[in-house]
Amino acid sequence: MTSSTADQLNPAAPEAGTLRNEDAAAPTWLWVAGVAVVLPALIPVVALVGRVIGASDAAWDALVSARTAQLLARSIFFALVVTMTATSLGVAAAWITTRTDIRYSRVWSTLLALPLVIPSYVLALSFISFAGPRGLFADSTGVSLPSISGFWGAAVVLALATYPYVYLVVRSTIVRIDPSLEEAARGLGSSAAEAFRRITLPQLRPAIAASSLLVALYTLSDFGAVSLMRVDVFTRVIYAQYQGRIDRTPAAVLSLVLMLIAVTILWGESRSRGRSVYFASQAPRPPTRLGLAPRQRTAAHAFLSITVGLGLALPVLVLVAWLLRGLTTGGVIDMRWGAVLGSLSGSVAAGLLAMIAAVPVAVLAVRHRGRISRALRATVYAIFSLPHIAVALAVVFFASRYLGGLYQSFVLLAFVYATLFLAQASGATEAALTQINPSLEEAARGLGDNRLQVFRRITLPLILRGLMAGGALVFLTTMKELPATLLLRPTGFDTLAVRVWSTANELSYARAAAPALLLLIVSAVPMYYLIIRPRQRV
Amino acid sequence: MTSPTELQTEPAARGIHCHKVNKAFGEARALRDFELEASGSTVISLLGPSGCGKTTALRMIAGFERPDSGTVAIGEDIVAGPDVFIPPEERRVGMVFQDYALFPHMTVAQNVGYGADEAGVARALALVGLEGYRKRMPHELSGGEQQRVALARALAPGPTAVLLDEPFSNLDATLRDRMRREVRTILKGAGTTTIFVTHDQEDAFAMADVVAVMRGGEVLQVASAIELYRHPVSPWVAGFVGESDVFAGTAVVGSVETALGTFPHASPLRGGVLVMVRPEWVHPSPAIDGAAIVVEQEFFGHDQLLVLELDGTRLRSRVGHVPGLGIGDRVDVGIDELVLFPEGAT
Repeated sequence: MTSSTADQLNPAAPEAGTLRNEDAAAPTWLWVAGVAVVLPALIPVVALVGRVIGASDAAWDALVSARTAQLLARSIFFALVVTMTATSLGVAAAWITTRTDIRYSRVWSTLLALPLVIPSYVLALSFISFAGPRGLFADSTGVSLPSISGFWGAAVVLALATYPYVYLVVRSTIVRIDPSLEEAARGLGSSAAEAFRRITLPQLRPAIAASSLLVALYTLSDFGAVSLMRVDVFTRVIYAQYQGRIDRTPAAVLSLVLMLIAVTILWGESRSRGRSVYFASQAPRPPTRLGLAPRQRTAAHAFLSITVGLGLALPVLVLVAWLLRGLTTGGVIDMRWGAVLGSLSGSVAAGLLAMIAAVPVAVLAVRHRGRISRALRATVYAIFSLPHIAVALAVVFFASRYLGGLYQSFVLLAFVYATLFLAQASGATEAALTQINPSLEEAARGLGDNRLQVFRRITLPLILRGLMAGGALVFLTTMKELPATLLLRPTGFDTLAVRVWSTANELSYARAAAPALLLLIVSAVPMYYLIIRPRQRV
Repeated sequence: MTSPTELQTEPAARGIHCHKVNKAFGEARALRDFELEASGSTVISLLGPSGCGKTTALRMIAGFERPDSGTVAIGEDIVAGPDVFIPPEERRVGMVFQDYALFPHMTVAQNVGYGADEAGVARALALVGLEGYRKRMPHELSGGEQQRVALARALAPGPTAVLLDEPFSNLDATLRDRMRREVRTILKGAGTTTIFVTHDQEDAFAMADVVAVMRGGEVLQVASAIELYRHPVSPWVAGFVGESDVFAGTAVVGSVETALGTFPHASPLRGGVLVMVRPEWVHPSPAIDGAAIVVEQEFFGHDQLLVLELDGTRLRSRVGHVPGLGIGDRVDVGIDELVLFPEGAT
């Protein structure tokens, strides 16, 4: 078509894809909505900063010390260990269940996702009440095991509690990848493992980055498991400072340090991800599953069994055993229906509020990339990553002074829940939105709809599943929430999480068993229908 | 398919006019003083290599990008210019996207009816010959069917103009040939002004009444396919729209002297020039003392491609069977047609 002469005269024109000017296009009202959703969440942070700036010299001396440096190192290392473990578990589980010919892959898929419904402190409780002093094992055999509490025990517990986030996100992405890409790599001489590493893994990178970020932030803000297993990371130390001292400023100072760590992680994540936007379409056909050799099959089964065994079977069996012991020895079932009602009402309100707030944040983050939308998104993630105890403290300071009647009200508590977990709703919505090719929305505009009409007729129906999954995540997380509830609940308001916590603190494992099991059941039902089942049908 | 007149819009409302349009994305200048005039039921093609700004031009007309300067008018209305920007939904321009952008959660009828009433849907589906496909979902359609649905969706509201972005790039060669004809028939039937973007000269030649060749954000030449092929404005355009060879010559009134001989021409150029010929314009005839030698021969059945060499100048010749001609033979060179460019032209 082109002549050699012309080619010599004209070195190839620069290759470029379609350029889109995305920053310029966002209308003012969308920015207003995005900022309006995020701004109230910043108030507690401002209150916290104000408190720290006005702090006494003694508080600053407490901050700048070897003990703080040690605390910092321990917390970061802890989060790193948990994140790497959870990510490896999640990716491996997703790959085995989608890309190998392992039997009962559907059953495994469900089982692998289920640990998500077990709160980290319930998992910790089950580990301690099984293997710890006065635990089931010591009780029935008389042999006391080496202590399960501490750094590594807590790391295992948190990795098991968080890997399902990675697993679910990666799994739903992996099934959308066109299998012919991997086949092309195989045809070019790559082994199955190499093709996965060089072709599939890079395509999964946004999913892995997003979900492991979620894990890291979850770990940093986890309070229940680390305090039960006595690991002195930031959250536990902050709580101790708050409880043990009349001057609460040191707690505020440490909270601010923790916030800075979270912001740093976010910054690193956004740098590593760069500008990659994937318009993944649906996979045209299911992939050919890799045939496992007998040894590999045994290894895969062992891996899945251990993961599901520790993350799901152990806690359920231990709790049931304690419940039975309680029944047979003293007939103790400590059940309060008020706690059930409290958990449900708080979680439903939080989920709905978060879904509404997630939409402007996600649309700005995906469709109108730029400094402001990045800042909004980073703020949402930073708030999610804050130790809830710190946010609760800040809200206590702020609400008791300025909000009068709202202080210790259900409305305020629901808003705090939604604010804390907004990142889960907006993250899921962003993921769904990223899957939608912007040309769909442009096509609709070209056909005569304005932005709002396009959102209602095209965008919303297509992201609805992601939005609801995000709402469900918020629902579940609120169900398990502990420290914010402890500090902000209205008088007489009770939740299952608070029941489990208070009874476990009294070392009455048998009393903790019934509310803990009920917590599992109520969060398992929506979890299964909203998150696990739709993803299996893909 | 129904009669061509049913979807026709008012002639006065037709036409696209772009004047001195500039657009930059950061450092990258996508369009430089972009000019385009399209009116009536003309099918006009923006042809150029990837990155030449053709898609940006299309998105600018559709309203998905705002020009930095210059004006865009649709019919008699200025839709983009100083202090004017009409949003895409008010431009009455139908756009067919490269990946079709069919709404995955809607049936064919719902897709086509997105911007139109039931009568528009019926007419558009009839026009593309998909009346029986109303209840299908987009993923149940073949590539060619998806394209026709996308076209029907763009035509259903009775747009002033239809814009197509690389409409055939997702189709295989056989389907591509068929769809070119079908799409042209449909668009001519609808009677709208059509602008379509492509990097493929065959697409442009087969579909368009008028081709605008673009490079580096600029329109280099606007002409019919034949004009473009026979009278390109530069060696680059010549090479982009077909096979071409360029060699040096010296022009005098009425003729040009080259190493291959002296040939007549009608150009006003004098002195040192570049001579451009296409392989089918070059005719070798065996001659024992011929000036050129056959150095390569590629046989295609209906014709053959010969590479002729003289004093280091190589040019190609596409001819039928020439008895007794093979590699190493000396030939005289006859040239039917040639195009002259000023020396140093690119």
